[in-house]
Amino acid sequence: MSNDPSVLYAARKLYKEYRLQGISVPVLKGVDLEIRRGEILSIVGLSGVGKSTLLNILGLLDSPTRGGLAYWGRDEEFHGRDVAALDINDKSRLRNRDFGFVFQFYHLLPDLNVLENVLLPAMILRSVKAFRANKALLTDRASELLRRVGILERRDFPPNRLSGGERQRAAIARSLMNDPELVFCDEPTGNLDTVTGHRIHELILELNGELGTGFVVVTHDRGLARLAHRTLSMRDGLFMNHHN
Amino acid sequence: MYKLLLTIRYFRSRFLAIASLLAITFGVAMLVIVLSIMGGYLVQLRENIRGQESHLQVISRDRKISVTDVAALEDLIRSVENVQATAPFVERLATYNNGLSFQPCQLKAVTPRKEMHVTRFAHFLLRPGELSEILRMPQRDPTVATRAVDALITAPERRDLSLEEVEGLFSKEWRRQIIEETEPQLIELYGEDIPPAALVGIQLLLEGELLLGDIILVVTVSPAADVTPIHRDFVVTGALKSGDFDIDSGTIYVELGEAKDFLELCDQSTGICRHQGVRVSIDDPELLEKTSKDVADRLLGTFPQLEVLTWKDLRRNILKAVLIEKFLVYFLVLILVFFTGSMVLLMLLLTVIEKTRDIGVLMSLGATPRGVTSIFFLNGFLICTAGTSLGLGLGFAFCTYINEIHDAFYDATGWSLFNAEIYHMDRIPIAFEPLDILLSTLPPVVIGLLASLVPALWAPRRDPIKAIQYE
Repeated sequence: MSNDPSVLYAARKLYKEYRLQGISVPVLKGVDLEIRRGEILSIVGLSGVGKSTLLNILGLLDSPTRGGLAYWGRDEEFHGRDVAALDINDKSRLRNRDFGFVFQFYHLLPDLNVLENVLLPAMILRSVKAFRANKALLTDRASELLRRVGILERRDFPPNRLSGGERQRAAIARSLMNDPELVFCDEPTGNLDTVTGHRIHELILELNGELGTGFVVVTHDRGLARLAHRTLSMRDGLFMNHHN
Repeated sequence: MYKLLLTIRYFRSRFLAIASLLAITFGVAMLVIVLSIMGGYLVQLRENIRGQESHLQVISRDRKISVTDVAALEDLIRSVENVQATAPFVERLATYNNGLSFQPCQLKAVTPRKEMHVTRFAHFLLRPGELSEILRMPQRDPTVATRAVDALITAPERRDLSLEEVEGLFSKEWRRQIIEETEPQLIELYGEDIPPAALVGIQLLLEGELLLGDIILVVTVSPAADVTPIHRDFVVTGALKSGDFDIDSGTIYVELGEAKDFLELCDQSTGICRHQGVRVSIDDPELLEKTSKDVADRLLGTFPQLEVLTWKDLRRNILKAVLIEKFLVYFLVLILVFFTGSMVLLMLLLTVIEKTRDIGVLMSLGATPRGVTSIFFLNGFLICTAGTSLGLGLGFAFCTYINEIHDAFYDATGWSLFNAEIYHMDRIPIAFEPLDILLSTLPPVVIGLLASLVPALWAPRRDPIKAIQYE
């Protein structure tokens, strides 16, 4: 699809239709998109224009009705293949190793403490034996991520004892555990007050600078959109313009 | 790793999971207890029957006391391969008078030195020392006394009575000694004609129906005429405890030689004596049916009027009834286990619904549908296996101490939950059979796992994307 080595992920002519009571409702109407390595890309737009649907398709959580996705990540096995058409296990593998997710409502598992939540992607990646063999190393990495996001002292807390901002920081640390190429953030500050939201903006910027991880951020927050390297505005299932 | 971790966390934090585990625990414990008691009852019943009955019985087809030439018959039977010993016998329904009233009893006339080789006669008989120890006990509550007798009889160091000890209980010296100790004035009355010995079931002594040294009048009807009453005095010289309440509370053993005249077994003019039949013991009980057939074949020419019955034939109905009852109760309890299986199903379905968002998060983090399925299946597996193991332990513990629990309950309330008169045995019998353990553990595990499979397969088919869109 693309010969530009700076392009990490590309979507071509993505369509998505939902059927509601027998009626076909188009949400994405042929979206084209290229995401570059290490960039922060924000996608803005009114509610219902298809931002989250696009994010879910890019994150391989949902499948397009038509169109393809090309990904030039670490694993050359997937280069040149339409990753939207991969089988469910390969998609799970990509989500686990190459992608991270940050949700508006944090979605930390309430039955695990903060450290365990952060370790979760590493547990999913490895067998019991492999995880146990590397437990100390992985725990150190998770602790380091928690230190970076500023909640190391909360590592043994259950999620329900954290504030909203702290929960989102823990969710960001979790998204970075397997050192992904790309983190998909769906309204990461949508549930936070302005000050806390601003701190999350700074954190994303900081982590992008330090780790080189790319972020695709769907947001209504103009402040966060302004910090992005690029902002795309969606309307009626299509991008309106490109801002660099 | 995450599957195991979440399985344990989901289990720990769900009241319903613990309730399901407890339901399976109690279900399995009930199965173990029911099958162990019913199995024990069957084993004990067989043991009791085997103790009272010989392996084989050769009796007249018309069930009358009509077997003549018993010595030749015994010789013929003993010539059959695998036959160990033989003993002639006569049994009659009778009544005995203890000085107050007439009571019904089963009168068994046996040859002690032969009887001890065909039944567990020498095991059931109590030595004079043992009997006086039992009768000296201050506690005369029959239930408590029965417990003490049971402990004495089943003591591992206790040996069966020797031939001398068995014959001693019927001897003239012992009869005289007993009467001298209890009613010395009767010695003069009887002179040398001391009444023959009667050994009675232990319950008759424990319940005060009879006393050691009592002279009892035994009345029955003549086997010759079947209507003429005949009677004879006997002196109570000992007791036996078979474990079968009916025998222990209503049987009187007398010596066959002494009872021949009384029972009018011999024709005075011809000198021919008649017996009810011959009891036979065999070397290898596994060859019971074959030996039974061999004996029957051997008798065919000389004694065509006789037939051979095994101990199972003699009590076929009760053995079959208990076996049917065992499985009937088992299937009733199994319904409860099905109920606990449906509890697991409901609990896991609720957990899946409650954890849909977790499933969505896990899938977004890279968990495969199979991984998600595993979490819920492992949850069900944990509940089933832990519940089954705990139930097995609880069932075993309860069964091991069931008599102690019963006794403690009896001591505290005075209520006996296991009535010896009803169940024909005085202690609650227990037997752990491998098949019963399999029947107790396999259905709950299989039912539980099948119940887990449905929600586990359903979990990754929920719509996780929708769940993670909202709070």
